[in-house]
Amino acid sequence: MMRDRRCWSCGVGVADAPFCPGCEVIQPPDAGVDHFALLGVPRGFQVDRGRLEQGYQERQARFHPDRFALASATERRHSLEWATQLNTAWRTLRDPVLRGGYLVRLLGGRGEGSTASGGQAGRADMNDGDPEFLMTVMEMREELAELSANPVGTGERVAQLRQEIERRIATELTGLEKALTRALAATSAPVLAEAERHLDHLRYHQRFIEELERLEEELA
Amino acid sequence: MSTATQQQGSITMTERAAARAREMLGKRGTPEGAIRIGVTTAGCSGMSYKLEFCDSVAAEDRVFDSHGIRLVVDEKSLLVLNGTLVDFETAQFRSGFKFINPLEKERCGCGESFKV
Amino acid sequence: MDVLLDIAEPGTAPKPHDPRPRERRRVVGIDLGTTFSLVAAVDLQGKPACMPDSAGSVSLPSIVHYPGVGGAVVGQVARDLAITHPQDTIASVKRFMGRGLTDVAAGGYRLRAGSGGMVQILAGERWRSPVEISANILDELKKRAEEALGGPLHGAVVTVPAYFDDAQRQATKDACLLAGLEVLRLVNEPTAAALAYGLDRGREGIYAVYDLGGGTFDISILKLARGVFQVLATGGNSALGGDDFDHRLAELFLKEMGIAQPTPGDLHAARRAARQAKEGLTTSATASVRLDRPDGSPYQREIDRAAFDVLTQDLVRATGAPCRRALKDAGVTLEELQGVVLVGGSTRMPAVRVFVADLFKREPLVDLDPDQVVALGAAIQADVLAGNRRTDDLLLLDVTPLSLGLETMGGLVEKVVPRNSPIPTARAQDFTTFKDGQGAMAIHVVQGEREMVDQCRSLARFELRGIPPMVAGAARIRVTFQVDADGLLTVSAREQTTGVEQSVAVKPTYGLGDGEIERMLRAALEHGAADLDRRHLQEARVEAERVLHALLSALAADRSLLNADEMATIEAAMTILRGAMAGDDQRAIQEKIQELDRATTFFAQRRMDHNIRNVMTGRQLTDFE
Repeated sequence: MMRDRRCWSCGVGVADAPFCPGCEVIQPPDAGVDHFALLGVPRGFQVDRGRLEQGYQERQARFHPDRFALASATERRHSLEWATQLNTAWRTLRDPVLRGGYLVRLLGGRGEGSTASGGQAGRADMNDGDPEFLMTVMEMREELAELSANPVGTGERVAQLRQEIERRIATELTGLEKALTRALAATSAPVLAEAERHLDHLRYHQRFIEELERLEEELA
Repeated sequence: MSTATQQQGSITMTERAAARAREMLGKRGTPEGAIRIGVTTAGCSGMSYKLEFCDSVAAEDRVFDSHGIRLVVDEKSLLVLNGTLVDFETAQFRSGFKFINPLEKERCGCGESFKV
Repeated sequence: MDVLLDIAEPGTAPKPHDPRPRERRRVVGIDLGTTFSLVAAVDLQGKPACMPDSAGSVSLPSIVHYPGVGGAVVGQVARDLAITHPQDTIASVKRFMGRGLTDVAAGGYRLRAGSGGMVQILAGERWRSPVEISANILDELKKRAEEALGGPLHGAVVTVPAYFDDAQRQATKDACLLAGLEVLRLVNEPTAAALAYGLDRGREGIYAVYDLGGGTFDISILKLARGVFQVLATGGNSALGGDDFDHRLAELFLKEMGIAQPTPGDLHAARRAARQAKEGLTTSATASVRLDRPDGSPYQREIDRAAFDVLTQDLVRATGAPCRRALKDAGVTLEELQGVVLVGGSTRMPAVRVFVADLFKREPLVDLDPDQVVALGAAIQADVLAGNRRTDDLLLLDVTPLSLGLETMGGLVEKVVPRNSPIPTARAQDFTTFKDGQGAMAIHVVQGEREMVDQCRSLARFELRGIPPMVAGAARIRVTFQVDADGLLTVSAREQTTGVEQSVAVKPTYGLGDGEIERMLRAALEHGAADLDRRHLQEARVEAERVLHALLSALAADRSLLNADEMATIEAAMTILRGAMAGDDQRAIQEKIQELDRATTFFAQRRMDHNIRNVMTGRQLTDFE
């Protein structure tokens, strides 16, 4: 998809080129380009970590504001926009939960809380059709609250809780990957409900881990 | 014949200044070139030293040889530069050529202009 | 100062007092420390080096003394004056930067809340802001650098503790502005240190930088690969440093001396003795302390390292939690670490080294001077930003140290930018109204990790007005946080659904408002301007003297070259100049000098021609012989 775009500085047609082919000046980034394309990694739930890091670093080396410290104000602004967009993309793709939510959104799902523009409304909505999960979560939270109230000598139980939550997270991630792989391969409108359910569970687990970590710090 | 000519003036460079000048001439692509030194005047408020690459020698120029570097000086400037030694100084954070001129009597505060 | 010249292309040699075109820009790195400050630049060999003062010392004590009259005294002299003038001599001003009265301990100084709640200190018969005091330190370093580099500075990279919040960063930048320094970039101290370390040996891999300075503690986890220095996580405590160890020891001395209510002088003396004892204990097993009691009798005591370690062990241990958290945030295990770098003078304490080795399960690296390494790294980054390095082989990628968020219902914090987000960054969060027809929404920006607003640092408050009447929950207010490459925040808010655009940009108000900076700049300029005017007047008079003297000696030698009219013109110009010299107008003196120059140009020319004719005549005679 070539865009009809002209260089802001010299007026030459630049299409999608980050630097003007005529005067070599930096162009504003395309806000519509997706994170995978921006960092040069294939779209999918599994991301090659080495390739992601290299793509990110190589691009920051070209676009970072430090490279434009002596350039005009407009060039510095565009470089800031590039660096900001690269950082958002990198942060999203390196974290499996953020990455999963982002993929759901790309496929047309809600993917709440997964990106910079995540909405406030409906944020902590719990899926009603999941009473078993809700029950487990509530039991674990209650236990954590009890442990936090009287943390002395709870080290062993806290460690067990961590193992348990990490096992649950791993299971959810495997489920998320399967659901997303199916959705990505779908020829018609993909079914995203399952991926969204895994993401909701993962967000609950993440919040639990944050509280667990607070207790762990207290114990350390 | 002018053996006497050379006795009437002398401009010299230290060895390290000549080495540096040779390096800079080489970098510029004119390894056989000369260096022009001179003064610019500004009424009575003083003069300042001038150091340039030299691409053409005029009739009123005098040429000195110092450690293999040709130093070109116009006759007017020679009057106030006679006996000058050009040195190259290197401090930790800056370096450059320095004029040691026996005729120089005063300098302005910042060192950029002088009087004879 | 000797002028050092380059060889210019023909016809392009600069005229005297013209700015010189230079290949390299004069830039420096500045470590504005709690106890010491340093300035460094990349030298002609391409290596970073700290600049010494005339006595050969590179560390400038960050101490400023304000006499009742006259300018500020900075450094070693101020440190000596602290004993006799404890309240007019400000040490460790960095811990007051961007801080409110309730955030800080007075430490014997006279404090009050200034505008925006920021601390002000009474010294030298005037209330001064920490920004202003820091500017005096920066000014001293700037002078030192300009001397060594042979001209005015193009700009500086200034370091701040990684754990500095937005108000502290803003205050640091304001201090630079006040000192007339162009800030190329604020760089986090551990990041700067890593830069110096990484370049020194061409190191690659993941490193932890443990930076315990005079007043701040930072931990950063960085990945070094192919010239990219990427900060993965950072943490710390911006109110924990070597000073606290001194204070702990000083409290013990004062207690043993029976001083319950120490005067500022008592505090200074006890802390000075404590610092000396602490420094002594880095190399010896015991140190002896001598102080005078209020009744004049001597207080004397030996302290050994073990006792000192027990007294301060909670301070050392307090650095552990931030280290563990940073490792976790970075997603790095101890086994993946390539090494641990020690930075800051306080890491010289043996107990700190033992603690770090134990915590990270390896011996820390100490091959670069922990006092200098931050300034050296800043100098390298300044060189990169100024375009002095020929190759673009270095890049720093840093993160936000603390989470940024907004107050929501019930005094809770909604995080918008989580800590350790790579910068620059922009994040948006949508909010809505909770009452029907609600026309305005209060936006309260906070920084910190806690869940309750009152446990976080308040950065700014503003109100988004003009929201069109809607039912509760229908409005969509998007609040955008932008953090630039210096780590400084801008917040804007906009109502989206109705297409009515309301946009407000705020800068944190806790530091100095733009108006206040402007006022201080003006005051400093007026204040400095008076001094400067006097100096310029004096310089103009000296210059006039010199011109007159030169002309008189020329006239004594070559008066015969002038006719009576010409002589009269020159004498008239001389009289006018003498008249101007008697006055106080520096500009008038300079004008008259120039007029005299113009009136005598022909005379200078004629003398030169005359001399040349003499030389030519001489040569011809010689040639004839």
